[in-house]
Amino acid sequence: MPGGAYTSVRGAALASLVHETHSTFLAGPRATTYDPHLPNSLRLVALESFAKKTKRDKLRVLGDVVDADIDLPIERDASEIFVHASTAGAYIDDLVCELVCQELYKDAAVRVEDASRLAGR
Amino acid sequence: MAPKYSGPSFSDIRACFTNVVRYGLTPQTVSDRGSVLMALEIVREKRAELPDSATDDAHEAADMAAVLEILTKAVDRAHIPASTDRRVLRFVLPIHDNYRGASLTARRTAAGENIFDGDRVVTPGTIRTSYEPRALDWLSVVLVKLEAEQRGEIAPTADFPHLEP
Repeated sequence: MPGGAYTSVRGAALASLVHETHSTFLAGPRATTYDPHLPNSLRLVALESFAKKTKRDKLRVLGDVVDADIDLPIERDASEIFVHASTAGAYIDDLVCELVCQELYKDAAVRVEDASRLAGR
Repeated sequence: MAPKYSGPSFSDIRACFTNVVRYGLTPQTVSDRGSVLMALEIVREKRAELPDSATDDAHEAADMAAVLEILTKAVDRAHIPASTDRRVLRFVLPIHDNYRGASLTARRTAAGENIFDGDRVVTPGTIRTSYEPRALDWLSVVLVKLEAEQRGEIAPTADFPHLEP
C-alpha cells in the first residue's frame, strides 16, 4: 500500500479493517471461491472481513467509528447503502463496510479493479 | 386480447417479501404483514373455507397454509431456474418447516450452509446482500406471472437483467 494512504481513517481497529480488506481484495480471485458467478467485489470482501471478526474486535471497530464522528462523512445516500438491511446487525455491517469501501475507493487502482470484477471483465 | 394485469404489483409483492423474510413466514406474519399475498387470487383459491365459528388461530392457519402452498409451488425448477435461488428461498423465507420460527440469522446461516453441495459455505451476510435479493426478485416475478395466468390477464413485461440464470 502506498505510504500515507487512508490517513483520513482514525482509530487502529477501523484502519486495520481497511488495510485487511485492501490486501484481501487485491490478493483474492476475481470471483468468489464458492461461486464462480459471484464477483469477489470490494464490498463483499469488506463484509466478509468484518463478519469474520470476533464480537470484541467488531466493538473496537465500532468504537473507532463513534470516536471519529463528524470526521467520517458518509458520501452515498442511505437508500443505496442500506438497501438490503432490515435488522440492526445488518445496518451496522453495511455502515462499517460503507466506510471501508468509501476509504478504499479513493485509490484509483481499487476502483478500477472493483469495477472490472463487477462487470465480469 | 387478454386484459392488462390488474393484480398486486411486482414492487408490492417484493416489498411484502422483504417483511416476510424479516419476521419469518409464520401464521402471524401472514396475518399481520402478508395482506399483499392474501390479495393474490392464486392464494385465495387455495385458502380453505372456514365456518363463521372458526377461531382466529384457525383463520391464520388457513391463510398460512394457502400462502405456503403457493410459495412451495413457485419455488420450483419449473419457475426459478437457478438452484441457488431456490435453496436460499427455502431456508430464508422459510419454506422448510424445521426453520419455522427460527431467527433471521439462523435462517441465513442455514441457507449459507446449504446453498451449495459439499463443503462450500457462504456467510449469512453474503446471503443477505448477494443471493437473497435476487432470489426474492425471482419469486416476485413468478408470483406475478402465476397471478396473471390465474386472472386470464397479460403479465407485465418485467425487465430484470440480473435475473438471468
